Amino acid sequence: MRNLIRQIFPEIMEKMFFMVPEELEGGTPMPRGDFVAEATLQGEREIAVRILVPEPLASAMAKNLFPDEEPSRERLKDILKELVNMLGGGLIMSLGPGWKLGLPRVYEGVEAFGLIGGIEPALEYDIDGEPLAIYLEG
Amino acid sequence: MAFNILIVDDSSSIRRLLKKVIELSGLEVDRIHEASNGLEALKVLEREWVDFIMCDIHMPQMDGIEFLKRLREDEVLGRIPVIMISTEGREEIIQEARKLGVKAYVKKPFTPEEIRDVIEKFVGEEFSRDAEPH
Repeated sequence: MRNLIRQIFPEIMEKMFFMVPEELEGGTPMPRGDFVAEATLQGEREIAVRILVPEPLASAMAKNLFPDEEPSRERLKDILKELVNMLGGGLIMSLGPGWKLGLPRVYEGVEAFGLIGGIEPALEYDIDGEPLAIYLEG
Repeated sequence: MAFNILIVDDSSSIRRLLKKVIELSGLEVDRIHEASNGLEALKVLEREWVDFIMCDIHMPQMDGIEFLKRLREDEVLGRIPVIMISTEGREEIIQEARKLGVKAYVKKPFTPEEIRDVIEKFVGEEFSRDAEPH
């Protein structure tokens, strides 16, 4: 699954947001972030894919898409929802028949940290100097 | 020769992005309508005629496949050509969409150029027979 994400995720960032993610070694004790975007893959088992994104990175993504707009919090959440949706869509396509993608959701604050607390990120990236971590559960 | 277009996607960002690409594509546009799911799209179509629809598959309340089925049940609305734009790349879903009359398919993530190329090709094929859209 990590290798699939390695193939799919950078393409999404490059094509949609014009950003090139650099994979990090990993092992960051406490990855930084303000939002957690989640999608579930439902098949022979259920897998939750979660992306932890700090607000400055979400803002930069939004500004790359819409340079003439000061992004609202709703815009940031919408963009992150779409990001995890595209990652989930790419994953179920690679996993083969029998897998379905659940509707994406975005969490903030305590609720967000409750989802990733105590879990090691599967992959970590540096994107234009900002961190992004991807978590898998299930 | 100006087109009326309906964009159906639960992401307001994707709707805005598609609008921007259409506006920059050089296609003459009368109005671009928006809906965030299939149900809303059906409501728009009760009061507005559109020349073609750009539609996502993965949406809450009524997804793109169900929307297409409902569209095809109607003799008049069923003739509106549809471009699917989705994260959904599974062959069985694409086949189902094609059986339901989808004319073109774009997988997310997309570049603005990919969308523009598909629209140009699609409009050329679908509307070259008619002097003008409806």
